[in-house]
Amino acid sequence: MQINLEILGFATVEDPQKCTTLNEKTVVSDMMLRRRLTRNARIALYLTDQIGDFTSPIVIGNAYGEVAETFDILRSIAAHETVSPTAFQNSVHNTPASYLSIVGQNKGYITTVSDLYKTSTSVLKVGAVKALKFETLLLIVSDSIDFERVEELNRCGITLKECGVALQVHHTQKEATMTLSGKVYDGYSPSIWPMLEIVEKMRERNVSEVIVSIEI
Amino acid sequence: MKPRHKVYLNAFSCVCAAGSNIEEIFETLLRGNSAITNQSGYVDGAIMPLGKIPSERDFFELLEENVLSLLAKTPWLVPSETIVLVGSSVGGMCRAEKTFFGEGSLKNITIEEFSIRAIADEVVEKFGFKSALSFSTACTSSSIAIDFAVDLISRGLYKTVVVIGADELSRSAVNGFDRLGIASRELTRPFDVERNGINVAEGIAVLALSSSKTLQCVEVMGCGVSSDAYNITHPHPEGEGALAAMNQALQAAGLDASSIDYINAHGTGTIANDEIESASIEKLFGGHPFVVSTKAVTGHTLGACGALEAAISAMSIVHNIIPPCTNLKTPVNGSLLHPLESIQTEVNYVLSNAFGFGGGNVSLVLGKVHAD
Repeated sequence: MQINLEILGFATVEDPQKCTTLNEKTVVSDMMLRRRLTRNARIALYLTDQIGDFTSPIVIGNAYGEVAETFDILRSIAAHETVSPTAFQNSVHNTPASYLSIVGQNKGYITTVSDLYKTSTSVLKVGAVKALKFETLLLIVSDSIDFERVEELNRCGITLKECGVALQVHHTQKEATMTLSGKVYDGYSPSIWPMLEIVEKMRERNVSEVIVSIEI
Repeated sequence: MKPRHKVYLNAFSCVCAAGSNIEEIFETLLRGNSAITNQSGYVDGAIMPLGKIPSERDFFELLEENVLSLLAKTPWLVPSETIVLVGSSVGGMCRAEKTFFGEGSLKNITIEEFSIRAIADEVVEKFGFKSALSFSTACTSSSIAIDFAVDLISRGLYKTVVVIGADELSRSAVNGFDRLGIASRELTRPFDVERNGINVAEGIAVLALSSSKTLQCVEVMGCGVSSDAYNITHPHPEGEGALAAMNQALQAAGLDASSIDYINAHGTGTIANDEIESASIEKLFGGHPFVVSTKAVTGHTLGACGALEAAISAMSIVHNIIPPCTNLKTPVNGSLLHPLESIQTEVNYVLSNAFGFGGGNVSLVLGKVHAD
């Protein structure tokens, strides 16, 4: 079964190490809240602000979770130190979703999927099905693997340690103008490739609308 | 494409501290026996009361065993035509813990092994399911998977969906809850004035949902999903999110609050959750439905609790029995009807709540299926 999504807007951000232009002070005015944001939450908030939609239902994905906080907890336990409560509360996969909800005062449907390298595909699938119910949705995939022991785990050649893509979408009955081909983007986390493929299509010249067909 | 199919919860296979199958778990609940045991080795220098599955077997072996058990109960289910929806907050994290604490390094573990996706990969490959998708929304993980299963089936996108709620006891989670001051060092006492926190637990619940009625199934009549937009760890003080989720679920089910016979509460035993959840229930339902937290017996199985408690709620509907609110002496809210012993009564409609870290709320309404 196919569901077609029209892409209404998009935003991207990436950095080989750590994104430094995420406009946190503008996006999150509360200093205490801002200081507690995880890297994935900062990326998700930036992308949402770039699209300018804090109120639509959100499907957000991350492949690896909040790795910096997760490994801070592991390191503390191994060193027989007490675990940081802030690290723990920020270590759950839905941390970016929670901050998006709080900052945007979004009280509607917000969910988090995490399917490792298939994360973008899952975000698009959940988004397509939920688009049958909601007028517009925001689909976000962000991944930050900027933490001290990343090289022990990074065996698939990811050179961009931070990357995020957001799409604002709605369901359409119109014919698809693209299907996902499984294109590979060297250096990027595979979890983000399908979202990048859609963005690449959006950036092509003379493309008036992008409608992507999602196989459920 | 409007929802046009009814959704049935046809079968389930579960394991948790309270039993190695749903019949055992339900019996333990009806007897009101806590399955929480004291465990060392999770928090330095502390004995923690935890809901640990009494088995020497690896968690992933238990997972496979429960999928196999579900498939044996559902000969009509064709894995190659079925999507698996996983709800988990931990995934394969315990594998990372074992490697890291043993070797001081992550070099001998792959990210595939300890990601949330590890659960889906394990069962898709082994049993030949069509595909899988994993939700990780803390304690609402498997409830939100059920909500998505309802979308897929009611809109005719899939005829059968398997939902897996699975979370293993991890040192990270136990230490984290302990440091947040919400892990009790005693047996948890949901809804009691003397409650002082949760007993972290592990569990696996594998559910089969479909558009077809089967013997002893229940209907998943409605789901409600909301966000508090308030705080990462503390629920909205007026229970706005909880009320919105419960209201949405009732509306989707086409029921009014007076129809609900039994509320399977989230009831974690924390100061904040139980006070706010009980006030929200009173506001919406008054004092008429029975309100029970099964977590005093099973412990809080985190991302697995939504699926596990959907199965427990289905058992209440099918057998017309409501389990007691174990360990409750003095209710935090005297207006609510908390049974102190199991109650044999007609159970037509159950509302089951799951609320989580980050202010996510999911409510499900399950209903009795009458013979044609």
